[in-house]
Amino acid sequence: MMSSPIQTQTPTFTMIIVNSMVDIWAECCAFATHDLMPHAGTDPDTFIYTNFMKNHCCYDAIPTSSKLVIFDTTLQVKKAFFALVANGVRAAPLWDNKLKCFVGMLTITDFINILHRYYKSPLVQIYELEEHKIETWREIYLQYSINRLISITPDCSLFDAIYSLLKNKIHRLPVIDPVSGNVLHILTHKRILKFLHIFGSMFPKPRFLQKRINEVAIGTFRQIATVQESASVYDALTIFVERRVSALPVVNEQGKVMALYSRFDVINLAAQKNYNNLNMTMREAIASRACCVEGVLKCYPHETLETIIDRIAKAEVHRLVLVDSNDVVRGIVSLSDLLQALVLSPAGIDALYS
Amino acid sequence: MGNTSDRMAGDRHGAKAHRSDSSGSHKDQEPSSKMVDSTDDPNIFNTHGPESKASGEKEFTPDLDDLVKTGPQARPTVIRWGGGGREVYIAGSFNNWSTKIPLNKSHNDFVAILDLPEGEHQYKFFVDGQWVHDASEPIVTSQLGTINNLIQVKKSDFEVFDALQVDSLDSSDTSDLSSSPPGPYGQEQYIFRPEEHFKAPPILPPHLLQVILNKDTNISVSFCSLFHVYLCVVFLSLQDGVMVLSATHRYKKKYVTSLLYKPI
Repeated sequence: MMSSPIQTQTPTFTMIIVNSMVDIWAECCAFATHDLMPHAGTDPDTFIYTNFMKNHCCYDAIPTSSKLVIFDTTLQVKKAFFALVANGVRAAPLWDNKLKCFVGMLTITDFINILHRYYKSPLVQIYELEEHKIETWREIYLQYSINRLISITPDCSLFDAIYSLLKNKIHRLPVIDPVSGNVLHILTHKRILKFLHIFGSMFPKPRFLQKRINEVAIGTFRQIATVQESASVYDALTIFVERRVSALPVVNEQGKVMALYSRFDVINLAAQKNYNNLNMTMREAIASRACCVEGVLKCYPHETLETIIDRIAKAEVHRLVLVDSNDVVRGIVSLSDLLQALVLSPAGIDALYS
Repeated sequence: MGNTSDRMAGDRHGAKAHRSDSSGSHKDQEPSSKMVDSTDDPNIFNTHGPESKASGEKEFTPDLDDLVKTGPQARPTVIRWGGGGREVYIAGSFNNWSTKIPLNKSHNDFVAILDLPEGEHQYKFFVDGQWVHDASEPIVTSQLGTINNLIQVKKSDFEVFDALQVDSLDSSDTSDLSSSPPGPYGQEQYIFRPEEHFKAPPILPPHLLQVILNKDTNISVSFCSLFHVYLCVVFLSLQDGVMVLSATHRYKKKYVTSLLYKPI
């Protein structure tokens, strides 16, 4: 039987609709979910982590019960930062009551940027920190860039989440329920690694984990951003702003690492109300840290990937400082590097370095 | 006069048979329950008037006696004057009519919270220089022929505060939170009687003291097991010109407690 012209046209029409729907979701769930298989000649364990991440969704990594702090954009920035400290959280989604939606995130990076931009001297209060509302700050900070909230839905895979974190160079990814628009959780590299660490025991460890860190070259080994002990806290903030790193090894004149100063330590300035004296030296800032750190979390070039992943997961840090036998800084191995190498690179995707 | 013990008042009302049965079985189940004091007035569950208590409750009251020491316990009582005026004071038999206590203006009326011991007290208001009584409240003619207001401060009114105090002190013990509060349970619908007026609102269910919000924690992830019980509750905090609203939402099997900070 001859099919009528109408019938042959209809399938095309349907296909167009399906394609446009895929485009809408393309941003969120970009990658196919089928497992990758190694072709002949490659290590069969190559795709273990890639497939694990593809087979689990963001919903799985959300904790059973958690607390989420949300700020209205008309709240004053100073009160917002103190609220972060009081609640023990590092980031908060921002709710715009006029637009009736979430428009961004307030993180420690904002605190660092405000301090860096407006600090004048220890004798002068930082007026903008005292008086600005979150929306005023965002208008200034975002005037030269388009900003939209980067988020993910709970049914997207963890692979998509890792890609989004690394591609956008962010550390906080809000998981938003598409139906209600509620933020369910703020996903981080650490949370994903913890999830992998808990469930990773269910499958045998890939053999490549026994390789040494200097063999696999995962991490940053050139132009490491560091800060001198004698430099000021303001200098450290400048490096945070310019180099966009998440932590700075604090070194002495010989380049030996004495401590690690991370972005998280900057919020400590708010907790201790020290943010008006950014002229103090790094040595003083480290000494005044409320939580005592036994020592810098380091790793050596001869240690295996397995040791390093275990150490990072147990210490719940974001990176380890790679040092030589004299404790001189040789590199940084961070969670971003690990997730890129173990999860994205086997699938042929470079998010971190592109 | 003399309405000290409400326990005996239960005998005045009939038709207690079915209630004794339910509370009888209750007696077997939880003699040592911490939920003992957590009902305010158990009569809220039955339709036999505010002053009766099921006989089965008797065994719980010894614990209450331990809490409330013998002798008059002064507890906060709300005194309200709705008759207008610019300056309103109160004096009464509780302070031997010696001083005039000022009432605070609150919207359309004046309010004071006084610590009154259990028993009967006479009082009168001093409004803009004149002694007046509140015609809408119970009155009595004193021996001198003047009309004063009369207030009966009952022990049963205090149980609310003891209950809340016990709850907040012992809120770390969650072992009994899953059991039902003691009291008679029946099929009859609760009928509201306007003449019953309770001086205090019902006490906070103890599981609401267990929220993730009020825990002193630096981590944002916690493992409290009773999430579903506070899904429809909104918590509010007002401080320093900032309002914090909090509610717990469920998404499939995960719970997130959101706190929204808004300037007032």
